[in-house]
Parts: sequence; C-alpha cells; structure tokens
Amino acid sequence: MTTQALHPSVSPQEPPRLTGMSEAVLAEVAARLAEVVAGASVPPIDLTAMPLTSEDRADLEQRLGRGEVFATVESAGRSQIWETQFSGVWFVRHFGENDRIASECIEFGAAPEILFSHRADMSAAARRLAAALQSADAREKTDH
Amino acid sequence: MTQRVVVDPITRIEGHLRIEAETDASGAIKAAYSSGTMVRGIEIILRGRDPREAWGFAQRICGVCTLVHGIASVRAVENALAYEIPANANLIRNLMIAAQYVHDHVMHFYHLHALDWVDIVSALKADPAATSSLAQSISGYAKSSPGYFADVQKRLKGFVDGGQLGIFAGGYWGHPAYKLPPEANLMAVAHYLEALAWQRDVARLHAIFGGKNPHPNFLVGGAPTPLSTDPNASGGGAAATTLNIVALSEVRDIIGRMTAFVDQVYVPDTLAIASFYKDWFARGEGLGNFMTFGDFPSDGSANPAKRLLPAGVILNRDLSHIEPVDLNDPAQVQEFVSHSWYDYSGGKAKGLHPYDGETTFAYDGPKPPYEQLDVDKGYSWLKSPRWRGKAMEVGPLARVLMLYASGHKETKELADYALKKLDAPITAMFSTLGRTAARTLETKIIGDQMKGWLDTLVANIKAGNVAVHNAAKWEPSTWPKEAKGVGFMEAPRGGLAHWIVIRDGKIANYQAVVPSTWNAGPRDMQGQPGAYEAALADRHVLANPKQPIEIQRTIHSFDPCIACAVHVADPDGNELSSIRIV
Amino acid sequence: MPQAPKLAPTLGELLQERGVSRRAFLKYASYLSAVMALPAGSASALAEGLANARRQSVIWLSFQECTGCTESLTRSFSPTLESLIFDLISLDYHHTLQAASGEAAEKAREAAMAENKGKYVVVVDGAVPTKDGGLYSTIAGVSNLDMLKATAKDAMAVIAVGTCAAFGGIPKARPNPTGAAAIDEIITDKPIINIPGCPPIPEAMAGVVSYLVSFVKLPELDHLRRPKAFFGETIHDRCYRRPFYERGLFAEGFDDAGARQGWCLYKVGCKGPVTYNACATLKWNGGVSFPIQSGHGCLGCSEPDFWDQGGFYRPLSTNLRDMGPALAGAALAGAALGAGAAWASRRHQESYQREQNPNEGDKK
Repeated sequence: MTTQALHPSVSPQEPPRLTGMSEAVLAEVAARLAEVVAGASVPPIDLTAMPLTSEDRADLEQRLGRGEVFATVESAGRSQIWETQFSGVWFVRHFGENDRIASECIEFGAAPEILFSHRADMSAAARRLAAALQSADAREKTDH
Repeated sequence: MTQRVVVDPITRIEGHLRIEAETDASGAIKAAYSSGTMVRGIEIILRGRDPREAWGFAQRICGVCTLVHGIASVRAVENALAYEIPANANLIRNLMIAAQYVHDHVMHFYHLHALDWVDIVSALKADPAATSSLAQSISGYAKSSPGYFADVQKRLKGFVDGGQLGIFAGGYWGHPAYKLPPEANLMAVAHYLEALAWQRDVARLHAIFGGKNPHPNFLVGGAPTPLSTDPNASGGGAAATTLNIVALSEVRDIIGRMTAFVDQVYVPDTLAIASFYKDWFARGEGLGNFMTFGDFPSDGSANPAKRLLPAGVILNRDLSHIEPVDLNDPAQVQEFVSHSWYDYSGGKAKGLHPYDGETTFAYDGPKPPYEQLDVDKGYSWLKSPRWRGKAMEVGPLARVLMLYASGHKETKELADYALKKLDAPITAMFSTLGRTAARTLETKIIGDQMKGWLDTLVANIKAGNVAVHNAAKWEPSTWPKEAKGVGFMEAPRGGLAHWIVIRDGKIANYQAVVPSTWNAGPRDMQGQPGAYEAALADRHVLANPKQPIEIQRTIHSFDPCIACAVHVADPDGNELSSIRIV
Repeated sequence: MPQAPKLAPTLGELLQERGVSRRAFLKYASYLSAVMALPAGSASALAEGLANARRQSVIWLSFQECTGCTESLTRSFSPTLESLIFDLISLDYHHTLQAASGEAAEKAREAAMAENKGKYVVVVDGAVPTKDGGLYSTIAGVSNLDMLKATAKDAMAVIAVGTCAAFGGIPKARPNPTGAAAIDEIITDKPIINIPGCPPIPEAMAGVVSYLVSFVKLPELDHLRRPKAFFGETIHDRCYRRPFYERGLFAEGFDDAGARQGWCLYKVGCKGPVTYNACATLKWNGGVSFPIQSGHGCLGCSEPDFWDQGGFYRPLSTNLRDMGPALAGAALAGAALGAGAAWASRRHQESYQREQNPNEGDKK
C-alpha cells in the first residue's frame, strides 16, 4: 500500500458526484414558488437532513444564486439570510456552536419570519427606551 | 454516643451508591460502609455469545467512562487469541482513551465535584470586575472580561430569582465548609458552563473514530474506521468514510482545543480552588496501597516498555519500591464476597481468581423499603477484590504516584510545580485533595501525549501504512477450541481488567474487575475495608449530619462509577457451576 | 385584595431579561420543526409556545442504567444541555447533575412533585428489575419499582429515554437475570413516550422535551410509542451509502478496498435496514459522523431486544429488496438517496398536499 491509496484515481464504480438531488430540489422550489404566487403560504424546504453530496449543495446554491438582500442575524448564534436571484425564494442558514451550520432551509414569501421584530420585543424596547429617556430627564434636572 | 448517618443517593456520580457512616458525639466518622445498590448481570448475559461482540455488551457497563469496557473487552479477546493488531489501531485507541481521560476528568471536576467546593449562591455577591482580575491573575484564558462574568452572573441571578432552582435545589449553600470568596465562586460557575460546551467538542473525536459518543464502536483485531480512499473525501463526498484527511486535521484541532482548556482553565482552577482548602490535603486517604495495570503503547506496539503509564503496586505509601503485577497469577488478584450479596460454591470465605470467578445472587440485606443496612452481613452488590489479600486504591492518585515513583520526568516536574504552588510536601498527595489534584495533573500529562500519537499515525499513513484492522483471525473457524485471556487498561477511574474464557467460539466465562470495585467494594473476610471506607474513616468530622458535605468531598474525589463496579450476576448457581472453568 | 400567587416568569420573559430577542426561539423552533418534519407554520407556533411557557418541572429517575443517556444529553448541540436545563426546563431531580445528596435530594423530588402535581414530566433512564420484589436496585432504601410508581402517579407524562427504559435493553437481554422490565410494562395509566437508542440521539431527547414544553401535548408516536419524527424511517432509508447498496457494492471486511471506499456494510452485519432511528440524518456529536460513516455496521440499538437478534456481524437474512420504500429509479438516475427520492416522487406531492389541506383526504 502506498500513499496513493489515499488519492486513488476515480474508479469506474464510483457513483456520480452530482446525484440529481439539486435538480429535484430546484423543481420543488419552482413548484412551491408557484403556489406562493397563487396566494398560498408554503412550508420551507429543510436542507439540513437531506442526503446531498457537497457537490449537490454547491450546485444548488450556485443555481439559486444571490439576489438583492443579504442579512446577518446575531441571536443565539449567527444566522445568514439572503434572497436568491428568484424573488420570494430565501436561503436561511443558521449557525450553531463553533460556527458550524446547525440548520439550513429554503423559505418562501415576502421575507423570512426571523427578519421581523417580534411584538413582545418591540413592547420591551418601548419600555426600555422610555425608561432611558426618563433617567436622562432626571439627570438633566439634577445637573441644573 | 454513636450515630448512623445514611447518605443515599450519593449524587453527582455514575450509578447507585449508598454510604452509611458511624459518627461519635463530635460528628467524627469512626467507620464507614460503602454499598452499591443496583445490579444488572452483564457478565452472565455475555455467556454463550460471540466473543467478537462482547465489547458492545461490556461497553454498556458504563456510559460515563464509555469506551473503557469496550477497549478492555477487545483486548481480552485479542489476548486470548494472540491476535495482533496494526500499530495504527493501537494509536487510534490511544487517542480515543486519552480523549476519554481529558473529557471525563474535566467533566468530573466541574460537573460532579465542583459543587462540593463551590457555593453557587455566593457567586451572586461577586463583583464581576474583581472576578475578572482574579481570573486574569491565574490564567491567560481569553474569556475573562468583567462583561463576560457580569453576563454569567446575570444569567445565574435570573435563574435564582425565577424561584426554580432545578439541579441546585437543596444544595448545601451557605454551609461553613464553603471557603471560596464570591469572585472565585463566580469564576467557577462560569467555567462550569464553559466546560459543558467544551466537552461537546472533545466528544467529536470519538465520533470520528467510533461513529458516536457515548458508546463509540470498537472492533476485535483493530479499529473499525478504515482510512478513506475517496478522492473527494475532503469535500465530504458520497463515498467517504469519516476518517480522511479532513478528519485527521479536525482531530488535530480538537486536541489543540482540549489541551488549551486543560492548561488555561482546568489546571489553574484546580490550584486556585485547592489553595482555599488546604486542610483537605491532610485527610481522606486510608489504605496507603496503590495499584496500576499500565497503558498507552506510545509507538503503537505491544511492547510493555513502550507504555506511557507503568504497571505496579505501591504498598504502605512507600514510593521507593514498586511491586510487579501479574493479572494471570491466581495468587495475586482474587475477589471476595464475605460482605457482598453473592455466594460461592466453595463457601463465602474463599477468594476466586477471575478466570474461575463465579457469582450467585444471595441477597441477605433488609427487604426494601429499609432504613439501614446490617453491615455484619452482606451489604453491597459489589465484591471485594484484593491483591495478594490486600485492599488497593486504583485511579489517578495511584497512577501519578506510580509515574512519580518510577521517575517519569514530566510528572515529577508537574507535581513539584503544583506542590510548590500550594506550599505542600509530596505526602500531601495522600489525601482527598491529593486525589483530586492527581486527576488534574494526569489529565495534562496524558493530554500532552496526544499530538505525538497523532503525528505517528499520520507519519504511518504518509509512509503507506493505512492498515487499521487485521482480518487474519476474524473468523471463529481459525480459533483454538479453547482459549483464555485478560485485557487490561488504565481507565480514567483506575486499573481495569476483563478476563475471558472462550470455548468452541463462544464465551464460556467473562469477568470484569473494575476500578470502582477496587475502590468502592465492601469489607473482606478479615474485615479490611475498601478504599472508600478507609478514606472516610480518615479524619472526617461532620459539621451537620443533615448536610454531609464532608462525605461528598471524599467520595467524589474518587469519581465513583458504580454501574461499573456492580456488573456481575448469576441468577442460578447450578447453571454457573456447569460452565465454570477450573 | 388577595394577592395572586407569584407565577414563575415565562421563558420569553427570562430571555428578555438577558437581552435576547424572540428570534432565539424562532431560530431553535425552525431547526426543531425541520428535524421533526412539522407542518408549515409550525416554527412560529412552536416559538410562541416556548416563549409563553414556564420552565417545565422535570424529574429524572435513573434505574438499571449506565448513565450513557444522560451523557448523551450533555452532547446535544441544539439546544445545548445548558440552555435546556437552565432556560427551558427545571431539572428538579437528577442524580448525576444535582447538587444535593441523600435526604436533601429526596426532598427536592418530593417538593417538585407536590408543587407541580399533575404537571411535571418524569424522564426515566434504565430498566426496572421486577424479580424478587425489585431488590436488585434501590435508591434511598426504596426499590426502583416503588419509586417509579410513586413518582409517575401525579405526572403529566412519562418519557422513557434509552433502550433500557423503553424496551428493557441490556438488563433484559437473555437470560434477564434480574427480571428487568421496560417502563410501559409497569406504568399503564399515563401517556408514555419512548425515545430508544443506546444511547438515544441527544437532539431527539431535547427535541421531544421542547415539543412537550411548547405544545403541552405528545408528538405523533408509532406503535412502539416512538416519536415518528425521529423514528419514522430506517437508517438504511436515509443512509449515504445506499447508492452502493443499490449497485451491489459491499465491503466484505472492515479494512478491504470496499470498506475504504465507503461501500455498503450489509455483508458485515449492518442492521440499518431494520432499525428505525435518525442517525443517518441527524448524525452524532454535532453532525460529525454516525456509526456507518465511521465504518462499523449499525447495531440496531434503538430496536426492542436488539441484543438478542442473532449477532452484530451476521448479515441480515431478509432480502432487502423487499424491504423499505422502493425508489423511483428512473427519475433519479439510480443515484438519489432514500427519502431524498421522495422529493421528486409523487408520494411526496401527496403528503405535501395533505399538509396544506389537513382536513381533506387521508381520513382514516
């Protein structure tokens, strides 16, 4: 056995690197986008657990492409969200511990929910802002 | 006036342990009794099965020191069959065992042992800025800013204010035995959380070589993970096995993060915390006898001289003399059942070598529910193993003493450095905190070897040696009609050995004598206590019998693993005698 | 005016205090609804449920076990053990983790039972010995049998984690020396969820607990009380080595050319085709690997009595081609894998439509 063992040439029995899965997912994306256009709300496609080869993944990401929006969310780890070159088709990638991809999905619609501020957070923010103004007022009074 | 203090369950350990202690009017422990209260019967379940599968069953003896029984088991079969394994497989096993040490010891320190020394509630009073200064004064660990500690404190406060204390409910907070200042407590709480995240990373090393952790896979004759020959392995292509170029560099990274945490957090924390509890360097070691079996073939060969950890016995704390150990010698290792819930066909007074081991349930304890054990009769599901009739302590303290006594350079340097920092003599090691400190020191000693083993593995691969499994004796048709062997290792909790008797390709007898049986076993025929029992009788005074923190400290310093210790069982004496090997 | 009893803060409030927004819930919820294959819109409902829940009281009982299940839970990446036990649940009794020992530990269990009567969840790892009155395992002098019955009595639900609690596991393996029994052989009047595996996948344990906290109901279970989300398909169905199986390429040993090329392990005894679990999709230890990927066949550890099923290294005797869902080969050029095939198949379209119109069709 030589070091070649680690880098043998591709044997004719190797399965193809592109398995056709990216094609299948793209077809699914198209079908779901059509439903969104028709007014339905459709579930995301979870890519995390799907048996894609790394070549499939790269192919899928490349063919979906990048659109106009790219966002980073920092909440319980980092998330990257971008609109693909197809409006209404969003790529959502959540990172977990040590910056490893925790989950990855394709969402459909005007924008993924994680980009919206939650009402509860907004009311907490309103309270916080009011309290900050109040203490600023109080400081101003003592200063004069 | 004597009082019986019962602690059951002993928590923050693996398994089911009960301690009963007799104290005098001052609260001083006069005698202690250690009882394992759960039995499954894995050895009897193993009988009649394929020896190549024994590792899977044996591994389920314990999920904390996961893998040690798998290793001891495959080694027992290989020893019985004179089955040589490739050097790469030995190196992979070294890496896996060492990762287990580092993982297990750090988790023991922070998640099982720390709360004996660290008062969670006191941490609420800490000043985060002062905590930051403290942390920076003992270590260069990056996470040490005032903001970082303020966040931890905030999280802890929210937790306590919420009123649901969860795992911290009923803790002995505020007990006068807690001596750390609030800042040291807060630092330890932060590291409790850090260590939880860190250990997940360490376990990934096992998953690379063994597919998962806990309970990674092993293989008689080598290691199960072939080196991937997939040309696109680096991309995680469809044809890859886990073990490829990318994985080997991931292993290297994990080793780097492991050892960094040991150097920057575990070692400094141990020394810092220990410095507040120096009285615990003066109690809690009772037997004075220590034993190791040896482990870690440094070059992947079977040569005992190449092992990092030596084998031997130290008697009466005499570090100037090491006795040799022979696990095949029937006069050396014997198990007794005088105070165990078992019977022997030749009577309860006999001691049996594991090849001839037998185990028949003979419960003569009180009917549950019960308040107290009758310690004149049987009082544990553990047996009492003895070396030449003597009770032995095994584990980190035994190993560090053996390394020290045999002149291991790094051990001497490290131990001398730690003792100097604590302003303590070497005799301070014979104690509860000596045991805890020894565990920290050996974590560093063993962890620091890992990179070298990985380098050797990678060099072998580069030289064209990619073998991880020897198929020569895989088929039972190639085996002798009868064979027996012993597989041993140094598990994190101490010397571990499995004895196997193979007949007609099946397991005829299987016995495991494990570290926590040596340490936690009950008294023998002569009334000699086991290591736990002797340690608790060594200068322990209970301030409050309702909050027996002193018992926790010393018992936890051994890192009990009771599911390991109680493993044997045979429901039917007749069946046993028919397959017993004499 | 009588004062209302002080309620524990909700998880949303707790997180808000730490300055973390609801997005943290949404993020976890989207992960969980993905791995549990929950229907559309579940992620936001799950996130809302979590935010409005209070920390769920959980009592964890350890019987004839090896602590491997607890160890496994500490390896959970999503959620982590820290966020599970400090943010999501109140782990009121757990031998391996709790601070108090002895009497104080037992008091903590009793207090949690009294304060959360009818609402706490009992998690059990380990089997229960039933022979000779259960004297083969006791805690605080009480047999496991008695402790289980007494603790489960006022529980909302019982989760049996690990194959020992779910099916009896290794203590029950032939000849079952202690009369070990599974939890659902003893507790018959409570909702029970089995999460088998030796040990179970940590994210499956944490996921089921999160689901329970959020929706206060059981996830959909199969005939063995296993959550379908994690145990709905075999490992073979979703195995990345399945294309080799389809092409008849098998490793014949553990270190031969086939093994090194990652070929199918069927001939060296892999039990993937008859084992329902999520190892091939969720994988282990943050997605590093799973047993087959690391070269050893699946032992079948999440199936009942797997210890007594004829040997780890003996190939399955059944003809696999008759087993499991057939693949729509033409459309996939014989290369797409397991459930992946479903994406392109009509079968998927049907189930998808079911999700969209839950009230139409599929009326059993």
